Amino acid sequence: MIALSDTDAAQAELLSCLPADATSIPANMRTADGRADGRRFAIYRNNLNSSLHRALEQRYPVTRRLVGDEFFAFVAAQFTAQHRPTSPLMFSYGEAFPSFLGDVEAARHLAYLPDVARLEWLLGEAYHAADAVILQIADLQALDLADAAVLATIAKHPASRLLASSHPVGSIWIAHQDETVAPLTERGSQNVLLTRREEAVSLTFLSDAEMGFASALLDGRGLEDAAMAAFEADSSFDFGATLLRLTEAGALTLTN
Amino acid sequence: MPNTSPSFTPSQLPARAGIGLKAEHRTDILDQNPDLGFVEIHAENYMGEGGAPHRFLEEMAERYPLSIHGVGLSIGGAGPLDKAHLTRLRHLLDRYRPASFSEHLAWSTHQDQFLNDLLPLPYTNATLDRVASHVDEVQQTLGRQMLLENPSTYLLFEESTIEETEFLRRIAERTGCGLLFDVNNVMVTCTNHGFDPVAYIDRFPVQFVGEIHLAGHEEIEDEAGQRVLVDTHDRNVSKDVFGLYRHALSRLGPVATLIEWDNDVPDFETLFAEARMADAIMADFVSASVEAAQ
Repeated sequence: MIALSDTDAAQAELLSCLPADATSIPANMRTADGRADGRRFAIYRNNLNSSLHRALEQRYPVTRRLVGDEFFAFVAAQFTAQHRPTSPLMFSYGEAFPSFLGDVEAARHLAYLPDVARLEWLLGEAYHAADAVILQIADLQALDLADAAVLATIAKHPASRLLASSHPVGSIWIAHQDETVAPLTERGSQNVLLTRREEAVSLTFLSDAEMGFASALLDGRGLEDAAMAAFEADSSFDFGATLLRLTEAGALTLTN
Repeated sequence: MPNTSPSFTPSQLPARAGIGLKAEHRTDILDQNPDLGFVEIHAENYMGEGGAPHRFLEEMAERYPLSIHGVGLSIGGAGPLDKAHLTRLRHLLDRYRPASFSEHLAWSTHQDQFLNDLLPLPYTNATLDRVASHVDEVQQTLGRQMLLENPSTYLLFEESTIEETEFLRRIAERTGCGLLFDVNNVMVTCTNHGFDPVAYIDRFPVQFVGEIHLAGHEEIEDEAGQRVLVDTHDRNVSKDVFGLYRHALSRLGPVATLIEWDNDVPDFETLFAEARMADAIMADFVSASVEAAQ
């Protein structure tokens, strides 16, 4: 019997011929008439590399629109060469792409680009996140919020995500959902809350005080704890109004 | 010796045509309620925790028999199967209870890298042992029979000593698994290596087949100018492949037949027309056999 390591080494050799810029083919692979045929082996190479490229295109459509197809393909080629998937779940591929974009010299002038990509990554996370009952305004009204034990049952919905950016990323993303992009009037930083209702993910903008509270809550800190933190950061923090806003957005759930 | 445990649920798709399910066809399917024999999904696309993909699959599984087709288990891999992935698969199958589960005679994982393609393996006694033990492990873990699919290949391995149809026969006999007979892959593989596809079908161990796949392929040339077919799933099933399908049915009888169209996905009408074509071929075959028997 051939030792397992022999087939392991053979598969490792095949794998070493798969990078987009590789030109060699495995020594043991031949045509029926005994030829080493690079164009045939390239079918495997193309399948892999184009599928990774496609996965990034599907995950980062607005990022792609912002830089154009050609530049996106150029960056995607570099990224996919350096970051191979580690899981068969392709919707989990490309998490490092936003920070990779931040290191691309030729995209430095688009300072907002990595955060737009971050937003697109989080949109996908929110889309696939676990299901849970959404805390409704009516639920909130029925609860005794003066009771610490009741407060402790309010937690973030599994699909809720936050992104604080020094760029108007939410507005940029929204503007690029239409076929024609209206000139953007927003400037400066934006806090974006992503929530999922009826399977659709939507964006809500938060003030800094609301953001402080929401991030403490989404980090897993209890409602009371999060409120204390927000109040310490900003004494004008309005707990009741913020809780209502987050509830309206569908950001919360009830735990037992 | 076959070691099929009686506790394994056998594959039980109806002998009708089905389609590869695409989210973009959701509205068409809900509005038209088309008469489909079954729908098939790629397991890995439904391994997220929740949200829209699962709502969609629940809706579809209420309407049609379901086939779950894995593309990431790497049954032909040299290393051990990914236990975490097998567990995810078990949860998916427990949740949706599909009529059939299938995977590929191929590999896609090496150590911690996932290659997102179906890579080929040589057919030797050693790879036979390994594939059989992986199929055993899958069936034990899932508590059901799986179907194993014949691949599309573009080059041959010098060390191969067993013919592909014989390799698949021995795997099925040893593990009790069924086979997924991809007739487009037969056309692709046989064309690429100068084999006769009809003879391949005649050698195929049809008694194990639980499902057929049909798909479109692209034609290119290799470095010597020889015709090479690429398994692209991006267009209509070719006339040649429908011809081979007829020949396969003459050996198999009617069997669940999937139209796979995964890239450049067409509108629902175009896809459904392909499925109706397969249904019509099966119906012709059935009436011809009835006439012959009279």
